[in-house]
Amino acid sequence: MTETTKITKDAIPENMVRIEIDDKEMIVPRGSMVIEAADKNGISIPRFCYHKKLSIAANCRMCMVDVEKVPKPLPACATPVMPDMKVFTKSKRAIDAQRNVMEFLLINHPLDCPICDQGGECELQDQSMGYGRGVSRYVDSKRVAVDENIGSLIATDMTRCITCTRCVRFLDEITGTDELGGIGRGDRTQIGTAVGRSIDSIMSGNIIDLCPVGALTNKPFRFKARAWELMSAQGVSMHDAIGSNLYYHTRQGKILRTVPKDNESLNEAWISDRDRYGVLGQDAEDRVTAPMVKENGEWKETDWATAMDLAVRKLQANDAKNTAVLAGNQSTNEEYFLLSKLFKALGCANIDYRLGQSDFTQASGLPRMDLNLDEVGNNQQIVLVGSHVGHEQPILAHRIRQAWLKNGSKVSIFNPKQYHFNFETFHHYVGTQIEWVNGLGSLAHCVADLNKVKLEGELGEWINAQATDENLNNLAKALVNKDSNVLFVIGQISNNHPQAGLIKAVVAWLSSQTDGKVYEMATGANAVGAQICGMGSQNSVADILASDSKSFLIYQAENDDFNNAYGAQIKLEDADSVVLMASFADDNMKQVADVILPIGLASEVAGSYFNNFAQMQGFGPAAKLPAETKPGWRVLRVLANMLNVDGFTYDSIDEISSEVALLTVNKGEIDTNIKVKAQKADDLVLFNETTIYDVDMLARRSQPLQDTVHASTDNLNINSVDAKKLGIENAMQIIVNQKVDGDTITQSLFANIDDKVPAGSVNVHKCVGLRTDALNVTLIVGDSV
Amino acid sequence: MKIFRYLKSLTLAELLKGMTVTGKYFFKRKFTIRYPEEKTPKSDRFRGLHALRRYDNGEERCIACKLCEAVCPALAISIDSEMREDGSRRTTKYEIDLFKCIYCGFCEESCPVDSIVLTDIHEFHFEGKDKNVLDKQQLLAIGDMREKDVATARKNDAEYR
Ligand code: SF4
Ligand code: SF4
Ligand code: SF4
Ligand code: FES
Repeated sequence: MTETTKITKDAIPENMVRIEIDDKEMIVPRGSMVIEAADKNGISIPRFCYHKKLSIAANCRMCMVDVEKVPKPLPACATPVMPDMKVFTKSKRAIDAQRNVMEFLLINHPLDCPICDQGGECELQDQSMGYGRGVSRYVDSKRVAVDENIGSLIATDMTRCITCTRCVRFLDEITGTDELGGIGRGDRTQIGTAVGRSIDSIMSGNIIDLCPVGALTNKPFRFKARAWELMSAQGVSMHDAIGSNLYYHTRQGKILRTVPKDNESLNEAWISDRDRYGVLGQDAEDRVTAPMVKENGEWKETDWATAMDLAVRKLQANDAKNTAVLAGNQSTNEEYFLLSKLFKALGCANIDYRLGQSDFTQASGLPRMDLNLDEVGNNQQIVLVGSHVGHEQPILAHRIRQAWLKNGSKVSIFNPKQYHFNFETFHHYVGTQIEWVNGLGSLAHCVADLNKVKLEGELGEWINAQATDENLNNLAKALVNKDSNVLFVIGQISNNHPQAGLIKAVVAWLSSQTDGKVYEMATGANAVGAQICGMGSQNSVADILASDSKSFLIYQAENDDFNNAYGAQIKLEDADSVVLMASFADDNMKQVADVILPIGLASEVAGSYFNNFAQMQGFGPAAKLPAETKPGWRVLRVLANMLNVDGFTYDSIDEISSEVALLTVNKGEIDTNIKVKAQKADDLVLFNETTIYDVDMLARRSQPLQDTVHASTDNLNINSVDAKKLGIENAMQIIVNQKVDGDTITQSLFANIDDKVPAGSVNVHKCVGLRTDALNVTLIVGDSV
Repeated sequence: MKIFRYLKSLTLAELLKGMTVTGKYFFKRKFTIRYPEEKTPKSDRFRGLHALRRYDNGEERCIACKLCEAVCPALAISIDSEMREDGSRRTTKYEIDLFKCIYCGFCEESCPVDSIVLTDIHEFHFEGKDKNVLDKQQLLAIGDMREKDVATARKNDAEYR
C-alpha cells in the first residue's frame, strides 16, 4: 500500500473522479481514459495505436490492464475512468495479456531490425524487450506486403506494419487527405494507398514520427545514421512565421533530419513537410563555403582578411546615402539588429527585407495580430483573404481545419485561384487578382448596408463603388451577427498583391464593423524580427532599386526573392559594387557580385526569431558551419569595426540577444484612411504565385521537396474558356508579355489548361521571372510542342 | 615422531624425490617449440586480426547496422552508411583502429550476419604511422584470404556457442 493520503469524497470536484492505478490514488477528469490518467501520473502502460492527438482506435490491444471486479483485462486507451475504479497495470493478468498480444504482433513482423531505420528508436523493439519471448513459437508462413512508392519524402516497408492505423487516422483527422487506408481483413490487412498514388499532404512527414515501427521512415534520411548516433538540437522553423518548434538531429555536426518538438500553443505535436525537409537545402551545390572574390570576371577562393578588405573597400566606394542593404527574411534577429545598426550609423536609409512585396502603403509596422494561434478555434466565422493558407502557414491551416471539425467554424475565402482546402468552405469567392479584391469590397458594401453606416473617405468611396450581390450579402449577414466571433486572415497572396494596402484597409474596416479579429500573416520566417530590428525602410524596395544607389549589400537573399527579379538583376548588374553575404550564390548572384562572404544559415548559428505573434524564440547552433563559413553576426561585427563604427564590441551572441530583447515591439495596426489606387484589367490578369516550396533560398534548394507534386513548374495555367477563345491547347508554347512602366517583360512558357484558374486570369509561378507588381499581361500563342 | 623426522632428513629422502622428477624430465622429449619455425595450435575461438566476410556469391555480408560500432568498448570502429544504388543498406566507410581495439570479440558477437570476425591472425605489424587503421577494402581482403579458415573455425565451434 502506498502512503498517499486518502482523498476524501468532498475534496473531489464535480467533473472529476477518484481512481487508483497500481495503488496510487489520483483525481482525473470524468470521461478521460485510463491511459490518459496513467500518462499524467507517470505510470507507463505499453501502447501502439493510442496517440494523444488522434482518435481512439483500440486495435492494437497492447495496453491491456487489469481492472478490479472485471473478469477480463481491458484496453486502457478505450476504458473510461469510473469513480473508485482500481486498475492494475503490473498484475499477472495484465502482464500475461500484454505478453500474449506482443507474441501475436510479432508473428508477422519481420526480423530485419538490423537494416531498419527505426532500429534503436522503435516502440515495438523497446516493448518486445519488455514483453516479448526470447524465441518464436510460430512456424507457419509470415505475411509479406508489397511496398508502394509514395513519393520523395517517405520510405515504406509495409511488411513491418503492425496495422495500428495511426497513419491512417492522422491523414484522415489531421490533414483530411485520406491518403492511406487498410485493405484486407484479419492478419492480411495491409495499409496502403490502394490506388498507387503518392502521399501529397503538406504535413505528411508526421506519419513517420507516428508510425511506431519502421514501416514508414524518412526517405532522404534512409540508412544514413542510427538513432543512437544522433545529437539533437532545438530549433525554430526557418520557413514560416508560426515559429514551429523542432529538433534537428545531427551526426558529426551535420543535420540529417528534423522532428517536431511539442509546443501546445504553436505547432502542437506536428511540423509541416517544409519544416521537416527544407533544411536539406543546406547541402546544395551552390553553397559557398569559402570567401570569394571576383578577379577579371573569374571567381577565386581567398582568405577572410582579403575578402573583408575588399568588401570594406566596395562598401566605401560610394557614399552611404547611395548604398543599399537588401536582406532576405530568414536570418536571425541578431543579424538584422547589427545590420540595421551598422548601416543606420553610416547614414544609409535604404535598408529593407520585404523583397517580394509590391505595395508598401500599409507596411510601416508589424503585421496586425489580434489573437494567439490557439484562439483561432474560438471563431465561428473565419474569412481567408488572399491566402492559400496550407501552403503559406501549414500549421494555421491545421488550426482552421480543427476549428471547422470540432467547433463547426464556417470558413469563407477570397482568392485568385480555386485552391483545395482541407476544410469545407462556406463562401468561396474566386476571381482574378482584380476581381476578388473587388469582391471583398462588395462584401464590405453589403456589411455597410446591413449596419447602415455612412462610408467616408477614399476607402468609403471605393467600397461604395463595388456592386453588392446576394451571395456576399449572406456572408455579410453571418459576419455582422453579434453572436459569432469573426476572424479575418490576411494571407500572403494579399501581402504580395499590388493593392495590399487597400486589401488590408478593407479587412480592418470589416473587422471594425463585425467586431472581428485580424490575423495578418507575415511573409517569411523572421519577417517580424526584421521589422522589429529596424530593417524596414521608409521607402519601398522598388524605390530603393530605382534610387541612385550604386553600392549594394545583399544579405541572405537572391534574385528569386524579388518581386521584380528581372529589374533587380539589371540594377545589380549596373551597380558599382555588390557585396554578397549569403550561404548560397547561384549564377545570377555570381554574375552581379564582386565579393562573397559565406555566412551560416539560421540552423548553424545561435540566435533568435520573432514569430508572427511577436514571441521571441532563441536557439543555439544545431549544425557545424561548413568549412570557412562564419556566423553572420561575427562578420557584421568585424565589418563594423573595419568601417570604424562605434558600439560594436560584442563578444558573444548573448550580448546582442539581450539588446534585441529590449527593443520595443509595437502592436501591428492597419490604417483605414488610405489613398486608393484602382486597378483595371486590360486583357488577361496575371496571378503570380509564390508556391509552397519556393518561399526562400533554403526551401528552393531542398531536393526532396522539389521532387514532390507541389514543386513549381514553368507552366502557364489558364482557364479552359480563355484557352478556347485563344485557341490554346495543353503544352503549347505561349509567349507572355507583361508591360510595366513602358518596359515589357517577355517569357515563354508552356500552357496548362486548368479550371482552378478563373476565367480572365492566367497563373504562373513566381520563379519563372515575371513581375508580381503588375497585373496586366497579353499572350501570344506559339507552336505546340 | 621426532625421531621419524630426524631419520627422514638424515637419509636425504626429500632431495632424492625431487631429483627423481628432474631426472625423469631430463630424459623426456622436450616440448619447447621453436617459434616462428614451429607454432602451437590455436583455439577455434582465437581472437586475432579482424576481417569482413562475404557470401559465397561475392556479396559483402555487412549491412551497415552499426551494432559492432555501438558495442565496441574501445570505440575502435567507425562506420558511415548509405543506400547503395540497388537500394540496399551498405557501409561507405568501415574502419577499425587496431591501436584502440582490445580484441574483446564483442563486435563479432554482435554482428547479425557474421560479417565482422576475428581471425586467428595474431602476427602483424604496421609500416607507417597511420597504418593502424584498417579500412573496408583491407578488411574485406583479409576476409577473402582467410575465408576457409574462418568458416571452419566457426563450424567447429558452433555447437559450443
Ligand atoms: S504503417 Fe505504421 S503507423 Fe501506419 S498502420 Fe502500419 S504500423 Fe501503424
Ligand atoms: S574486438 Fe572488441 S575492441 Fe576490438 S573492434 Fe571488436 S568490439 Fe571493438
Ligand atoms: S555488426 Fe556486422 S553487419 Fe552490422 S555494421 Fe557491424 S559488421 Fe556490419
Ligand atoms: S493502445 Fe490501447 S488498444 Fe492500442
